[in-house]
Order: sequence, then structure tokens, then C-alpha cells
Amino acid sequence: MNDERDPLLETLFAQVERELVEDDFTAQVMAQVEKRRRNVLIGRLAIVALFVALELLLSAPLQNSVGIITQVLSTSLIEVENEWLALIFAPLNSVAGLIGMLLLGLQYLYRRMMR
Amino acid sequence: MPVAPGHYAEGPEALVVSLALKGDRDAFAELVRRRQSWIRNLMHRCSGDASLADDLSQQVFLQAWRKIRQLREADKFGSWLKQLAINEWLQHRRKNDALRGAEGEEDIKMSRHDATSVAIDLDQAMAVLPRPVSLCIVLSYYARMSHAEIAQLTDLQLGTVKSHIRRGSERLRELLSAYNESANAEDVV
Repeated sequence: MNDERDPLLETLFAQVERELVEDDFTAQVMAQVEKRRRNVLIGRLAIVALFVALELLLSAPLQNSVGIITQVLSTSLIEVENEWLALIFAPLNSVAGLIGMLLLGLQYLYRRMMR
Repeated sequence: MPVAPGHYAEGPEALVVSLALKGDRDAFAELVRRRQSWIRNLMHRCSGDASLADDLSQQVFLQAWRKIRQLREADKFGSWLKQLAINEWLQHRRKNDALRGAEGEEDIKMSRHDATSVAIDLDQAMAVLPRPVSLCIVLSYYARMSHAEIAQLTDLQLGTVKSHIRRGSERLRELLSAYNESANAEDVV
């Protein structure tokens, strides 16, 4: 069968087609469009308000926490008298360095086990 | 609140589409006014239910408004909207097929003659067909799409589309044979 159509069915389909142009339908669609636009706007405003509130509430405690964590991570494991040596070995001779090495070790072990 | 046809009523569609693309709601309302008949008829033929068809058509236009910025070429609005409508129908069908029980072939009593009765009879006959078959029939006979276009739009194999349309047409002819007889009788007279 090509794209040919049955003449009887073609006639019936053409017969039942109605011209449906109603302003009410258009108005209903546009009312929903407007409602959606309002909801999107409200949603965006709510997100902005939430961020502002979080910023106001949490900025001071967050800054404190970041300060404490930075201080702890940079704490030397072994006291080095010489300033230059202390600076050179700082990446290794610190809590951050220790954590980094532990993570590398774990990664190495994981790879060995999964091989 | 009815929407007046407005100042876009006479504008070429590509221009109205490009204005809607920029977020002009009046332009979009004009597109709804122009295209609603086609979409509502399509949905009615697919669903066999005028009020469901209107609900689905509204969803199609809402989708169109939401996604209109994805439309690359303004002059392809019609085919793009058609695609949205068919996707909406397929999605609705997927959701509701589970709820739709196995329907037996009902005994259809054809009422015949005036356009409303023809519509009722056609809806009843279409309801007897399996959903994929009725969709292919609607796209072929109402939307006047080629088999290849239907296959592309519905993600069905071309052979499947051809077979759906052949089987569906035969079944519909059987169910609507009363119309054939009356047409023949009129020819004889």
C-alpha cells in the first residue's frame, strides 16, 4: 500500500472536521500562560529570598567555621625552627598534608584491591 | 474574558511567530487563535472526546509557550506545533493505557447522515481500533501526513505504520460500511 487513502474514510474525516475558532479557548490558554508566568516569577523571587535569608543567617557562622578549618589544616605536625625550611615543608608538614597523604594512600589501596 | 483578535490578525505567520519568540504574548494569542482549530480537531479525532481534546490542546499550547525559544525557524511553527501535539497525545496515552481495560469490539449502531452523527459514528469506530492504529489513521486521514512522516513522528517502523493504516482502514470500512452503502445508493439514484 502506498500513501493512498480510502476515499470513503477521506470523505468521512473531511465531513467531521469543524472550524473551531473560539475566543474563549484562546482566553483560557492565555490565562494559563499568565498563571505560569506568575508562578515562575514567584518561584524565582522565593529562591532569591531564600538565598538572602541564608546569607544573613549563616554568613557569620560560615566565616568562623572557614577560619577555624583553615587554622587547623595549616597547623604544623612537627615544629621546625628554620623559617625557610618550615615554609618549604609546610604542604607536607601540616594537618592538610597529612589528610592529603591519607587520601592518596586510600586511593592507592583501593586501586590495588580493585585491580 | 475573551481575547480580541488584535492587531496581529492580518500579519504573516512567520512574523507573528518571531514576535512570540521574543516573548510577545499578544502575538502568541494570535497563534493560538489561528492554530486552535487544527489542534483541537486532531486531539478530538485521537481521543474521541471533545472536552478531553480541549484540555489536551490547551496543554499543547502551554508547552508551545514554554518551549517556543527552542524553535529555530519561525516558518516551521506549524510542523513544530504538530510534533508537540502528537507528543502530548502519546504522553497522555502512556499515562492512561494502564487504566484502559481490554476493550472488546462493541456493536456499533451507526446513526448516519448529519455531520454530528457522522462524528459520533467515526469516534465510536475509531475507539474500537487499537490506540497505535487509530493514531496512524488520524495522522494519515486528518493530518494528511505521509507514511514516512508518521513513522518519523511516532518512532514506529515504516512497515508497522503501513500495516497499521492498512488494517485500520479495512476495519473502519467494515465498521462504517453503512455509509458506503448509502453512498452507493445515492450514486444509483
